[in-house]
Amino acid sequence: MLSLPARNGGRLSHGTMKQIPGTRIRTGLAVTLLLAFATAHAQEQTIKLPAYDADIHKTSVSGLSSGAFMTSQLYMVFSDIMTGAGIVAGGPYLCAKSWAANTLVQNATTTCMNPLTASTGPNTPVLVKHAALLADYGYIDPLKNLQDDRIYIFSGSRDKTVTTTVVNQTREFFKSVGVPEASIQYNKSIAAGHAFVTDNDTDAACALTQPPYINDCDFEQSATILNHIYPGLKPPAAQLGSAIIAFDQSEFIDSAYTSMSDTAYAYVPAACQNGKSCPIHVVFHGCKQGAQVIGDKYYAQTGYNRMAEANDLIMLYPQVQPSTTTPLNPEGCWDFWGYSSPGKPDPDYYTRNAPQLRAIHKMITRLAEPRS
Amino acid sequence: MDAVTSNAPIDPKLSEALRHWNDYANESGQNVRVLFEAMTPVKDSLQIAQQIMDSVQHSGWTPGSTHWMKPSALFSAYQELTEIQLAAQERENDCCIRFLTTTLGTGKQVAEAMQGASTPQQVLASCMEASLNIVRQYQADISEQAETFSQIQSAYKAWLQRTLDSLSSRQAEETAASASLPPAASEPSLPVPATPTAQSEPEKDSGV
Repeated sequence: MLSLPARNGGRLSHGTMKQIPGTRIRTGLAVTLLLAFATAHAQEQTIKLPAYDADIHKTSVSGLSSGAFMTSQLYMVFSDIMTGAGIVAGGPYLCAKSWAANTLVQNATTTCMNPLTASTGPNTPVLVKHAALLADYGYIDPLKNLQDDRIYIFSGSRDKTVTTTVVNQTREFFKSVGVPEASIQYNKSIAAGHAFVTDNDTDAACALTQPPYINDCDFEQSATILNHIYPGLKPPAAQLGSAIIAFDQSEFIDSAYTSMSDTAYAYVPAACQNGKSCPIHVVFHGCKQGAQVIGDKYYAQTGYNRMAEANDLIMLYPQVQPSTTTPLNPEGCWDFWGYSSPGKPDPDYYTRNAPQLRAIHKMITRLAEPRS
Repeated sequence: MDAVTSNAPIDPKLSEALRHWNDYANESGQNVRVLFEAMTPVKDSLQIAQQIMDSVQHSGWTPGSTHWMKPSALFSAYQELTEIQLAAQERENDCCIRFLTTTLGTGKQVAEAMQGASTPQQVLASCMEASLNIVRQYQADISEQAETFSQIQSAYKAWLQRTLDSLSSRQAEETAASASLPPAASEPSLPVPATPTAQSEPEKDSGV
């Protein structure tokens, strides 16, 4: 609150208040209101995610690190609407369930990241059996949906965080569940660290592994992923024609433990806003890469939006944030070990009932609703 | 400057060094809190027990079904164990080298930091900054060591499971049928049947 200057030199009293000119009071109030307005606008303005009559059956998904694990989860659970996926430095679906004598978090942080040997890495045959069982019982979509899909997989040869030993099993997993080998593009020849790759010389050097985990390796990985999933795309646009949408993500969250942010982002090219039914591509950031940590670097500077602009694709960027209480997610990772169901010995983070997957599916469904 | 005067000015570098140490202390406190939050021994034990029980139940494994003298399986198990031990030793060596490198560099870091300091406060500030860097390096080394221990423990448990599975009679039949795949562990359990979300998850506004 502003302190109003008193005519008597500084001391305000009941009597003095009566003496303050009305103009000063109105000015003070106006300034106060202006400050309150400015403070409110300092926080991001979000809107309700609009409906764009998107072509839901051409949905695809990609992500880095924990975002890559989440990519596998979203892709496998809702394969009925999926046409492909891009996994950058991520392990196979259900990886944290590889070895029964380890807890889920132990598997997630050892087996699924940097195992001692290949034989103690992801237990792919078991994961495939488990996935088949889940599909048979209706917890995830049928595996036959995968037969006409296209998968892009990447592992940097300098990546010691999620090693090539682990990512090799991602390819084996998808081959085993029915994705044709000819439809899988697996690149492990680039000397990249643990990062998403761009062709931007302001990003970190290719071989490094450091925040914000976006490295310049002289090619736009976003374009490579999208070109593999949707063959025949145009090159990325030079400029964006629309603004990035900041929308209210909390609307889609029905659990207190998702660790998801209140705000998420989307990019919708003009053609998709004005009548065209466009495919949706969901983009998952990695740990410590949410907007709360690195701002717009992932959702605005990894090249996805320029591809969207050139090819009439809708980009959806769900967001997760660090949490040091419950749920315990200090690095701001997507859930691939069960933190979103704290206290449960058998958490469900991997079926259509998983809290994060439910929320994201609702966002996709909203985008696909008819325009109001 | 009068050393006994309470109004003696503090060198900006010393203030900054104190601030850095204060930030580090807060950060360490936060890390300790996170560590205690992560320790859930009861839940972990229940989780492992359930996973193992489900695994044994689905596979029908019993001690009697295990062919302890199957030569091919024993040879593979021994081979994998040797690989694990060699890999563990290599990672432990890497950790030792890191510690040694950090230790050997401490004296040099402190000496270099004190160069250019012209007042006692600046000397103190330089020492504090160098010490903080050294502490952070040791902390990173300890984290790496802890990670390595976890990887080794996880690997041995995985090896044990693989070995028991490969020695079981049922696994022998499956291995013969799918010779191109490595030995698989027992079938896992299904998730608990879905309950309506309004009942299974607390309300967002409950403040839980």
